Amino acid sequence: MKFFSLIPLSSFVIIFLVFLKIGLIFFGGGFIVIPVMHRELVTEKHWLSNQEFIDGTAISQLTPGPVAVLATFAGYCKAGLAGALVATFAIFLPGSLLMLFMSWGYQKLKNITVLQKVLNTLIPVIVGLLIAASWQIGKTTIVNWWEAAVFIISLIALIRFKINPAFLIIAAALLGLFTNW
Amino acid sequence: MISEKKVSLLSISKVFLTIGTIGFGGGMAIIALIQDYCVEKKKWLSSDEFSHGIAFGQILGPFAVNASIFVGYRLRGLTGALVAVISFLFPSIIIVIILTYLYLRFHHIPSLQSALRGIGPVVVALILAAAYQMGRTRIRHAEPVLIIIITILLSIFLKLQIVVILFIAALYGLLKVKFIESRNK
Repeated sequence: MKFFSLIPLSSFVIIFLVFLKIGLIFFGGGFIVIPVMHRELVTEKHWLSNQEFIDGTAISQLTPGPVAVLATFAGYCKAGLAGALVATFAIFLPGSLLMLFMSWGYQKLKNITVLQKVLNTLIPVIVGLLIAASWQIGKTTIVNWWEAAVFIISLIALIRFKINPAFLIIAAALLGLFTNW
Repeated sequence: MISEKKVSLLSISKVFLTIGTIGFGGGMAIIALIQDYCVEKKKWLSSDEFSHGIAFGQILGPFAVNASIFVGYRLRGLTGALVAVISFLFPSIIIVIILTYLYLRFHHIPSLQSALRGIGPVVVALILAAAYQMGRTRIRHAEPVLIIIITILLSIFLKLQIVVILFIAALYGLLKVKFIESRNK
């Protein structure tokens, strides 16, 4: 009996609802999921530590999928394989339904420019949220000159030279392994 | 639609599994790959139809999941959309599950700990680079810069819920669009 009570059904309901909420905010896709998930899972619910959040983000970047597969990682940490699947389903559900609706009505929606204009004003907000999240994550992560150097080199590599993130992550992991700073 | 013949669910699945497996690089690189397969190679959609559909899917940045749903839906309706999006995400989900399993099992080993500590600064750079790419073309004058600063203050110091911040911004955007429209009339 103990085996079955290990992860109660109710915790899957909670996981589903939490990731559904994240999915509702993240409908446009992309990196907005980072500040939203960091706030929800690290700051408020303490499901993940800051370091686990960083590691999960790194894992998500090793796949061709969107950064939102971070939900798969978080769900797995919380409740194993089933948790991973529930979290993944829930986070993609709202945006996918919206996109289905748009695909269905796209002939009629072609001219909705007001919506586009309103959503455009959200862009600086998302940029601000990303800067805030990187500060919150970075203040405990970048604490010595070594780490500051890796940070600056990565930033240049990503923005200026468009290096693949997966490559940078693997390179930094190997560097950490060998230098043991 | 260009081709009159019904595209089989199996071929939709195959194409999106392929894209979901080889499509490293994220964002725009994957959208380009989807276009390459579905428009150029398979001629499932016209170039115009594809770019119109994608415009909706990438309101807040290029998003391959939405592009998959759109293409699948145009080809075979709801079933097509589901097949496309599940096929596209499947390889990534499998990779994450395997890596997370290994991570939870082995991350206490000291040498792996130092490898993971090396990753931290890269992830922070990744988030800032995403912010830069998003804002680069759109933030050209004082107003968006002010909005960025206000957002940072609201988020870090007032610890306002992100939904609340987005709601205020959307409301402001709506009022602004209405104001400009009424002034131009």
